[in-house]
Amino acid sequence: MRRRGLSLAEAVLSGLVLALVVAVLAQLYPLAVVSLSRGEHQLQADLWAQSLLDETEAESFDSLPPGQARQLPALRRGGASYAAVIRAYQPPGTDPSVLKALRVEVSWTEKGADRSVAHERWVLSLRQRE
Amino acid sequence: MSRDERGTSLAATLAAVAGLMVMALVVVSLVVNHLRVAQRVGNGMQARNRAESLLALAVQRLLADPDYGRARGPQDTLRLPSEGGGTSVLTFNPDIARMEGMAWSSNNFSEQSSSAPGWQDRVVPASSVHLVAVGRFRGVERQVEAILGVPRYPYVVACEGRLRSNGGLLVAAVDPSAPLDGQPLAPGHLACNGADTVAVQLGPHSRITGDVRAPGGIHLAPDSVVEGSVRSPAPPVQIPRIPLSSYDPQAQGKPQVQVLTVPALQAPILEGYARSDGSLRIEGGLTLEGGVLFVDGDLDLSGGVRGTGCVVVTGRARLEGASGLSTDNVSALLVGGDLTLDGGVGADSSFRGLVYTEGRLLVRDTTLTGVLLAVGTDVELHNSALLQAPELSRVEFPLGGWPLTLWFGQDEGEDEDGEDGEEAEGEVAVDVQRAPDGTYAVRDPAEGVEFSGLTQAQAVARISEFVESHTGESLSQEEIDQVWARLGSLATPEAELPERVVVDPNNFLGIRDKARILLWRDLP
Repeated sequence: MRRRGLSLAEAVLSGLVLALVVAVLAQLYPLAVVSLSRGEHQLQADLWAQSLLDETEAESFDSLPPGQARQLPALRRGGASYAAVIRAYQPPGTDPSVLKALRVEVSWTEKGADRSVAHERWVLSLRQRE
Repeated sequence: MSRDERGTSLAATLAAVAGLMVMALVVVSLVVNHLRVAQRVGNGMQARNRAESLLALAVQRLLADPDYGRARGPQDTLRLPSEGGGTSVLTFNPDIARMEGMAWSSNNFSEQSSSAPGWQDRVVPASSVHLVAVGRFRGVERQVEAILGVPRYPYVVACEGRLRSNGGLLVAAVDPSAPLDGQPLAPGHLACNGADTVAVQLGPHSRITGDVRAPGGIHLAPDSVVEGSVRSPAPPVQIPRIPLSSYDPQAQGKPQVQVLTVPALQAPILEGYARSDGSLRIEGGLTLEGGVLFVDGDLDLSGGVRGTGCVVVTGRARLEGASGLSTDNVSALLVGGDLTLDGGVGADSSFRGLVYTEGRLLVRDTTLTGVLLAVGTDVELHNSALLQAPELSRVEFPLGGWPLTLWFGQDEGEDEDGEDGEEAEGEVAVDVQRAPDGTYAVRDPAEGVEFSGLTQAQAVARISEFVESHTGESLSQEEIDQVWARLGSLATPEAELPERVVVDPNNFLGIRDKARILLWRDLP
C-alpha cells in the first residue's frame, strides 16, 4: 500500500499548538522559581527572627533595656543578604521589673524589592538568667 | 496514509500538550504548597509569640495579685490584640474557654498544701498556677502552657557573711525518707553573699555535690571537690529574714500558752505553745510533740532535739548532743543571736529541719538534713555534713497538746494549766479539750485513755473517775465545783482541725523572689 505524508495543515497546526503551550510553560517556570525563592527567603527570615528572639530572651533581662536596639551583622543565605535589628520596648501599663517586649525585624532585598518580617514577644524577668 | 491514520499527528500533539499541562499543574501546585507551608510556619511562630506574650502578661498580673483568676469569673480573662490581625486569649473561666475552644487556666497559688483539679483534670500542685494561652495569627493557632510555682528553697546553705570550713564538709542533697548510708548524693548547692576577697573558704576533704557561689572570692583547698560549678563573682541570692516575733505566742496572742518560769528543765516533753521569759537551760534533750518553745533569752540545750516542733530563741543558743535521724524528728530552730550546734567528737549527732540564725553560726561534728540559713555575720562549719532535703526546708506540724490540763493531788492553788509540763510524784493530770460542737473530750495522759463527745456533766464524772483510779479517792464537792467552773470557761474552738504551725523560709520572701516558672511548653 502506498502511504501518503502529513498534510501541510496538520503539520502547521501541531507546530502552532506545541509552540503556544511551550511558550506558556516557559513563562510559568521562572514564576515558579521566583515563588519558591520568595518562600525560602520568607522562611529563612522567620526562622532567623525567631532564633534571635530566643537568644535574646535567654540573655540577662537587663542586657537589652527598653528603648535600646541592637543591630546584628548581616546574614547571607541562599543568595540573599538579611539584616536584623532587635529592639526592646516597654508595653504600656506593664511593670518594667517583670516584663518587657522584644521585637525583631529581619529585612532583605529580593529582585530589587525590599521585604521584611517582624516577630515580637513579651518576655519575663523570671524566665531569664540573672 | 489510510483514512484511519489521518489526524494521528494532531492527536499526538494534543496528547503531548496534555502531558505538558499536567506537568505544569504539578509544578504550580508544588510551588503553591511550598509557599503555603512556609507561610504557615511563619504564622505558627507569630501565633506562638502572641500566646507567650499573653502568658507573660498573666504572670505579671499574678505577681501583682496572687489571687487573680481564683474566682474563675468572666472577668478573669486576658486578651491581647496585636498588629497584623493576630490575637491571643487566656482565661480562668471554663465557659469562656469552651466557647473559645481552648484550655482554661487554674490558680492554686494561695493553697499551701493541697493540689487542685485543673483543665482536663490535670493536677495543679499547691502554691502554683497552671496557665494556658492561645495565640492566633492568620488562621494558625498555637497553645502554650506554663506553670508558675514556688519551689522549695534551693540552697542547702545560704549565708550573708563569710563562710569557713576547716575541712570535712559535705554539702549534698538526699532523699530523707531513705537511709543515708549508700544513698547516691544529688547536687546540693551552697550560696554565700559575702563580698570579701575570700568569702568562702573550704578546707581539706570538703565535697560540694552542687554549685558554690558568692559575690566575693572562693578558695578551695587542693583536695576539696566542687562537683557543680564555682560561680565567683555571682550576684547575691535572696535569703529570707524570718521575724522571730511572728512565732512568739505571747505577742501573737495565742491561747493556752505554757509559761515556763523555771530557768532549767530536765528532759521536758513539750506540746503546744511554751514560752520562757528568760534564759533557759535544758538537759537530757528536748522532745517536741507538736510544740513551739519560745525562749526570750538564751538557750543552752544538751541531749539534742527530738520530735516535731519549733524552737525560737531571741538570744544566743547552744545545742549539744545527738538528735535522732528518724523521719519523726523534724524541727525548726530559729535563733536571733549566735548559734552553736556541737555534736561532740565521735558522736553521731544530727538535726533534721530548718536552722536559721541572725548571728554567728558554728556547726561542729553534726549532720544537718534540711536547710541552713545564716543572715548574720560568719559561718563556720567543721567536720559536718549539710544535706539538702527539699521536704525538710519547710517545717509544718499540727500544734500538739490539749488546751487545758487539770492537776489533782497537789497543794491548793497550784492547779495550773499544764505549768512547766512536769508531773510530780503523787500528782494526777487530766487533759481536757472542747470540740466545735460544744462537747468535751477528756484524757488520762498517764494511761492514754480518752473519751470524747461528753456533756459537761459527763466530762466532770470522767475526770472524777480518772482521779479516783489513781489516788483511790473521789473528788470533793468543792473540787467538782472548781472543775465544773474550769470546764465551763473553756472556749469552743472555731475550727475542728488543730492549728498548724508552718515555718517556711519562702513565706518570708516576696512573691517575685520566690516564684519561678516551673514549666513552659507548647500544648499539642
